[in-house]
Amino acid sequence: MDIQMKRGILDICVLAAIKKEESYGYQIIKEMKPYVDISESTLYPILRRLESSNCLTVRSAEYNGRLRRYYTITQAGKNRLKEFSEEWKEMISIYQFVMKGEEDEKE
Amino acid sequence: MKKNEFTIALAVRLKGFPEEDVKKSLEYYGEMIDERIEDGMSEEEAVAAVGTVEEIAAQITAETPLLQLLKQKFTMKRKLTAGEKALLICGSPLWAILLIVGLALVFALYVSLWAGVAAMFAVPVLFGIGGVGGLVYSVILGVSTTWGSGVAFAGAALILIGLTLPSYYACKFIAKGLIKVGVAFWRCIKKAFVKKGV
Repeated sequence: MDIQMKRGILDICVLAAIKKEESYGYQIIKEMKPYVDISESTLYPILRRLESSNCLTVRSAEYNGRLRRYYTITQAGKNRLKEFSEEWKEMISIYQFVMKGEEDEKE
Repeated sequence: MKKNEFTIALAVRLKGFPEEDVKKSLEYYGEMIDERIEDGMSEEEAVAAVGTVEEIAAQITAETPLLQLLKQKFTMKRKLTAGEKALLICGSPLWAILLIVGLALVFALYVSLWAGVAAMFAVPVLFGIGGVGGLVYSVILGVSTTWGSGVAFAGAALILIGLTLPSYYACKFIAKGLIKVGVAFWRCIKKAFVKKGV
């Protein structure tokens, strides 16, 4: 997959992982695992990017005697998810159009 | 590798990056290791799972703008002695001038590259102008002398016009190629900083 596209999509995936409720780093990785394999070192710059673009906020809370960072989606983050889903609805209908032609050819 | 060793190794490797960034990185990776240990992995497995120090440093370097990388590379690792400071000041007429000359050279090279590109585009422009002007002149020529010479001149002018478009596309192609080379070259420079590290 084109590297720029992959980069943007991983950001979206992370936002989706925290869209319903706040989550923490390791949990995000585990949630994404069935769909996309992501490592800690890949996730880190994504979280930094999303934070600096105000798509999520971070808070530290104590857990088992150490600090855990929780990430919460912001309105800007939700807007970004919405943009993504609209762009891809269009992409899907184009894909269906392309594949329709191919099926007709096979017949 | 134990968590302590990993944290120290990472801190050393990230020396020179902005303090705040380094602190955040260490906290993040420390947290990730702890999470994996709680999940059931051994300390060594958890450390291995979050990635090597080199991988992490490479990721952070790739996300850091070149200017910050340069700052990091040229951060003094120890304080200058009085003797070194004195040498720096006394020698400033020399190194300052060399620096200015160096920068001027780089700037001149850059400008001449793009001047060359602009000159290249002059070719299709001249073909176009020459062709059109030639056609106009061929009419005048045909009227004032013989039709024969007018037609011959018009023929030459039409050839020039015909060459305009292909030469324009050739210039565009070359310019695009030069831009790609420039970008790739810039990426190589950035990579060189990543590899050499601190």
